[in-house]
Amino acid sequence: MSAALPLPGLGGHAAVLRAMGRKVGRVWWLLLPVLGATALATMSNQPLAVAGTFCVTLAIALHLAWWAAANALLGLNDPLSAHLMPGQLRRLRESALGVFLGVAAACGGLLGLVFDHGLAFTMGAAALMLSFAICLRWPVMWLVIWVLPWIALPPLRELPLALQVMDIAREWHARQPFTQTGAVLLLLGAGLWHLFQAGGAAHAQSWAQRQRVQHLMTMQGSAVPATTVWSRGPLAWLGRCFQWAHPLWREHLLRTARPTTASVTARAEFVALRGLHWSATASTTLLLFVVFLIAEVVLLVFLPDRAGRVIRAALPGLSIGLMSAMIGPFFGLDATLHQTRREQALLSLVPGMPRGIEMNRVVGLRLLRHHLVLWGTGVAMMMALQALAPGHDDGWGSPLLGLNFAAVALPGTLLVWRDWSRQGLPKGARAAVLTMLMVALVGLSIAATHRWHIPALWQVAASVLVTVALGAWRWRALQRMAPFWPVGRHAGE
Amino acid sequence: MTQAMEPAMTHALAVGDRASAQALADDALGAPPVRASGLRVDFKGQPGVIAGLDWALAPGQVVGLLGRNGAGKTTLLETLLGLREPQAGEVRLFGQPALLPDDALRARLGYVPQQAALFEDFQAGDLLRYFRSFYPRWNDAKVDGLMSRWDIPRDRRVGQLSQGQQQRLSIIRALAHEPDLLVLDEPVASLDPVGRRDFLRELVDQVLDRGTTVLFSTHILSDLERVAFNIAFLSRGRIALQAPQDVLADEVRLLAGPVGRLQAAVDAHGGQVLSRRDLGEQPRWLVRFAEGNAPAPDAVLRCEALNLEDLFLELTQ
Repeated sequence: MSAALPLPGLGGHAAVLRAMGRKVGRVWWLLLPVLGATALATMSNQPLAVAGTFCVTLAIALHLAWWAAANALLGLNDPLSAHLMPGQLRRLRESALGVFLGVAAACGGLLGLVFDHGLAFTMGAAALMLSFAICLRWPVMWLVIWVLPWIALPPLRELPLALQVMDIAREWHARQPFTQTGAVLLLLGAGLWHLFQAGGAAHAQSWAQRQRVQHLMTMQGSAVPATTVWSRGPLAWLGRCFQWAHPLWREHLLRTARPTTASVTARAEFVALRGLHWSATASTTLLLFVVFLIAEVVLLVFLPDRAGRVIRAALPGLSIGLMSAMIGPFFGLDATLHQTRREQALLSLVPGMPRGIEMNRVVGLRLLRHHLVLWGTGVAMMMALQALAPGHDDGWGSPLLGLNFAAVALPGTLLVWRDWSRQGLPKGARAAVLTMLMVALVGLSIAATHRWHIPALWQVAASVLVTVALGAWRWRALQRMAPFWPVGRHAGE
Repeated sequence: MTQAMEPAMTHALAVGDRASAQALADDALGAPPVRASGLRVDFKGQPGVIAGLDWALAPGQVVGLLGRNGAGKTTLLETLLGLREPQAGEVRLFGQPALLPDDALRARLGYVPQQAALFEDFQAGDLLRYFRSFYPRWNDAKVDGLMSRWDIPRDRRVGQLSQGQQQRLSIIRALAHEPDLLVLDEPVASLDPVGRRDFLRELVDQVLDRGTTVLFSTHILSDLERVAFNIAFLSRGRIALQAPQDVLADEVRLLAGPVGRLQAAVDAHGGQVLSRRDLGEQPRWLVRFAEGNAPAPDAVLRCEALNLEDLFLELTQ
C-alpha cells in the first residue's frame, strides 16, 4: 500500500469528517436565527417559551446543517476516488451514516423535549434528512418529493388505504416505539448507504449531472433556463415544458423589433433576466394553474362529497406556492443580473439602448414593473383559486396565506432600485438572512390576521400605500445612481 | 447585405439621422477613432490601474495592446468603450464622449469581450438574429461566409459550442455590422493555429476593405508580429511605448554597461530612456533612438536590437 494513501481506521473517517466540517462551517450563520428567535422569546410571558423556541429553531437549523453536510459528503463521492482509492467509499458511507443518525437523534431529542414523542420526531427528522440527500443525489426528485405532494397528498390522505396504514403505524408506535424507530432508522440508513456509488459509468453520469447542479447552486439562485444546464433527457424536456412561453416571447420580440427605446430595452431585458423573465414565470404558473384546475375537476367528478374540503385544505399551500413562484424572481435577481453582466456590457453598446441616467430610468422602471406585474398576477390568481374552490371559509383564518406573503413582499420589490453598478457576487448568507427576515415578517402578518383579526387583504392595501410612499423616495435616489449596467463594475472599488 | 461600403461618410448617411451628421462632421474635422486624455481608473486596494493615460488611435490603425496579466488591459478597453467610468479623465470616440454615445456612434463600434461563453441559452443562429435586430446595417453575406468557413453550426446552443467556436461566433457577431472601430479583448486565446490565422486574415481584410480601426489585446506575440502594424505596451497604468513594429526593431535598443557609459551614449545619440533595470554592475536600459542613430557596441557598452518577446519582457518587468 502506498504511503500516500490514508491509513485505514479512524484516521480515514476523521479526514472525511474534517472535509465535511469545513463545508458545514460555512453555514455558521444558521445560528443567528436560533439566537434571534430565542432572544425574542424572552419577551414572552409563557413559561418555558425560551427553552421551547431554542429547541425548535435549533432542530430546524440542524436540518439545514445536514443539508450542507450531505452535500459535502456526496461531493466527496467522485467516481474516480470511489473506484481507485481503497476503502474510501466505505469510510464515506460510515461517516455519513454516523452523522445522519446523530443529527436525526439530536433533532428528535430537541423536538421531543418540547412536544414529547421524541422517537416519532426522530423518525420524522431522519425521513426529512434522507429526502434532502436524495434530492442532492437526483435533482429531479425535488419535484417528486417537494412539489407533487402539495397536489397529491390532500386527496391521498382521504383514501381508506392511507388511513389504514396510518392507523397501523400509530398502533405499532404505541406498542413498540423503540422497535419501530429502530426499524425505520435501519431502513432509512440503508437508503442513505446506497446513495453513495462505487464508480463506473452510471456513477460518472450522475456525477456529471451533480456537477451541473453544483454549478447552478454556485450561481446563488440565478435563473438559468433548464435547457441550458440539461441539454437532453427528461430534465431538459421538463424544463421546456415549464418554460414553454420563453422562446415564443423571444421570437415575438425579434419579429416585432423596432429601433425604439421600448423595443430595444425589451430585447435587452430578455437576455439580462434570463429565466427570471416574466415569460418563464408565466409559463410555469399557467401550467401549474391548469394542472390545479384539472385536479379540481377530477376531484369534483370522482369525489364530489369530499372535493370541497380537500381543495380548501390545499389552498394555503397552493397560495404560498403561487406567491413564491411570483416573488421568486425577485430573490434571484442579484445573482442573475450579476451573471449576465458581460451580456449587459455588449448590449450597452447596441444602438437604441439608453445610457447614463436615462438607462436607470428606463431599466429601473421596467424592472419594477416586471415585479409588480408578477405580484399583481399572483394576487389575482390567488383570488381566482379561492373563488373557484367549492365550499365556504370559516372564520378569520383565510386559506390564502399567500396574501400575507404578498403583503410583506410588495415593499421589498423596491430593492430593485439600488446602485446595481456596485452589486458584487451575491453572498449566500445575505440571501439567507433576507429569506429568514421575509419568513419572520410573513409569520407576523399571519399572526396579525389570526390573532388581531386584520384581514390579509387590508394588509395588502396598507402594503400598497407604503410601497407608493417608499417608491417616490427611491425614484429620486435612482436619478443620482451610477448607470445600472453593466452590473457590478464598481463592486471592487 | 452590406448597405454601405464606403467608410465613415456613406455609413453615416445610411444611418440617416442628426447624430450621424454630427459624426460625419467630427470625422471631417479629423476626430480620431479613440482619444483618451488623463484617464485614471482605481480599484479598491489597487490604485492606478490606469494612471493618467493619454492615448489616441488614428483611423485605420491596427494596434496590438500588450501587457502582463493584471496590467489593466481589459479595464482599459472597457473604459475606452465607455463601459466603465474613469475616476478622472475622458474618452472620446470619433469625437463623442464614450460614456454617452449616440446611436450612430454605437453602430460604428464592434466589441469582442474576453469571455466568449455569453448568451449560452441562444442557438448560434438565434444569437446572430438577435444582434441583427439592433443594427441598422448587417452584412448577411459576410456572416454566412464566416459561419460556413469557420464551421459553426447555427442550430447548436452557444453553451454547447467548443470554446474556439464560441470565440469565432463572438468575432462574427462583432464584424457583422461592419464597425469602424473594432475592439477585441484577447480574441484568439481559444483558437487553434488555423483558426488564429483565419481570424487574422479576416482582420486584415477588414482593415484593407473598410479602413476599420482595430485595437486588440493578446498574449500571442507571434500573431502580433503577423498582423499588428502598431504595438502598444501597457505598463504601470500607462502606454509605455507605442510604435509600428518595424520602427521598434529599428529604433529600440537594449543598452548594458556602467551607468556613466549608458548615460553618455543616451546623451550623445539623443536617445529616450524607456526603462531602467539595475542588475548590479551591469545596469540595462531600454532606449529609443532616432532611426539609424543607435550607438555602436564596444568593449564596455553592449547595444542590442530586440525581438518582440524580449521587448515585452524588458518593458513590462
